[in-house]
Amino acid sequence: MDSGYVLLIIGMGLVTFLPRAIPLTVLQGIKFPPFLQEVLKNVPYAILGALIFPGIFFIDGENVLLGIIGALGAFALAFSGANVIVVVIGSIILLSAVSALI
Amino acid sequence: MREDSSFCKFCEGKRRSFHFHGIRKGGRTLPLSCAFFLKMRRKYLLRIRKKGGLACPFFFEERKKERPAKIAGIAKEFRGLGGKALRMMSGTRIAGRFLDGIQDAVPIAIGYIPIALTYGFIAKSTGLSLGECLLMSLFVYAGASQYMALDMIGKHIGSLEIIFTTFIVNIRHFLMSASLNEKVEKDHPLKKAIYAFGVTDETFSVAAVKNEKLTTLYMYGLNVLAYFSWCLFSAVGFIIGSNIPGVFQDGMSIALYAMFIGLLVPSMKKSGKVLFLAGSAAFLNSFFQFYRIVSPGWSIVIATLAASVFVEYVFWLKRKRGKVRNG
Repeated sequence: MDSGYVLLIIGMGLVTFLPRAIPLTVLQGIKFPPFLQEVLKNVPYAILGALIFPGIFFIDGENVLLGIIGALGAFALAFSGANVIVVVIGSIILLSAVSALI
Repeated sequence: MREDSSFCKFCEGKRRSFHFHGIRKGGRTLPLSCAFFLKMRRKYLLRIRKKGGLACPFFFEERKKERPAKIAGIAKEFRGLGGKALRMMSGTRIAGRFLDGIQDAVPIAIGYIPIALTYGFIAKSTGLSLGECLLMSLFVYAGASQYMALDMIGKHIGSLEIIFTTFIVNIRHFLMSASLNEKVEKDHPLKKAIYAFGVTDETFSVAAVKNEKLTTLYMYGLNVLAYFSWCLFSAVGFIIGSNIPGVFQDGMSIALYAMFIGLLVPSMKKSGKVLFLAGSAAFLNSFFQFYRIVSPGWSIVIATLAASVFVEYVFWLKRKRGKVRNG
């Protein structure tokens, strides 16, 4: 193994680990003001929105058609009350079928 | 509670049968099993359950008002027999076991397959060895920054710059970790640091939308399977290289997005606030990325923070106005 790459990987690992670990270990027992607590509780839903859009449209590079079909399929499945794993597998099947047809 | 003798200290030792009491603490009601109950044997417990449970009426009244998940969360705070019985009686599953974590990680493990395979393949074409490719997945364990690093290695960009960019890309984990900290049980910082390593967009999303308080064991279960999938398929991708079938790649590329949607929609159906939050963050993120105002790493962070604060502010104003009207 190239020692330059190993050093790079260790450095990357460190700067990735620190933001993950610091809040969970340091903030324990600290009580935030209620408004901030609520904001932190909002984060998961906001981040889900930001993770889905606009990324989902570009799963097939610049061709957004596949992304739109996938998004509609996944939302339809999820709104019908399907379990997460059913939504995932259903969307994979749908998109495989569509991309085989196109 | 335990140090008491076989008498219930809340009814001054008048009742010797199985019952609960609720006490008010910071706006919520905590059920407290009495000391007497904590000392009971399983045999006794079963007999009580057969009778339908002679719980303190106050407790049951309170229980109706609270959501079952909340009860389960509270029940978890009681260790030993008392907590177990409370969980049994409230009839809800709590996200406490290692296996629950494993189970919830299955969609993540599936979703990681195409990304990890592609990562392995790109690592090979960039000129990394199998060892280096695997080492990066083992040590860094962050999809987006690993892709970015490969791209920068390919362009012969210096290590320090790559590390700095990795830091920027991963700054959003800070936000996730801080939010997760509100949901997990208290534990030794070292134990938390171990599962903190496994915080990714995906594991965070799965953990954060759960209704219950999360135990350390659950977090371990969730992270172990996701981590295993990521590392294993990075190596597999390196080995099989470009022989990944195209249709498989196309179909699988939706997996993680489908998972995010599957996690978001159930909460969205229940609460308008969630729809508002996800919608505004999605809009802001799309706006930032479309006009290339900031880099994608920052874009998610800024969009999330802005949406969370803005929506909370709007709801806070609404509550305040409601109070004025009612008062």
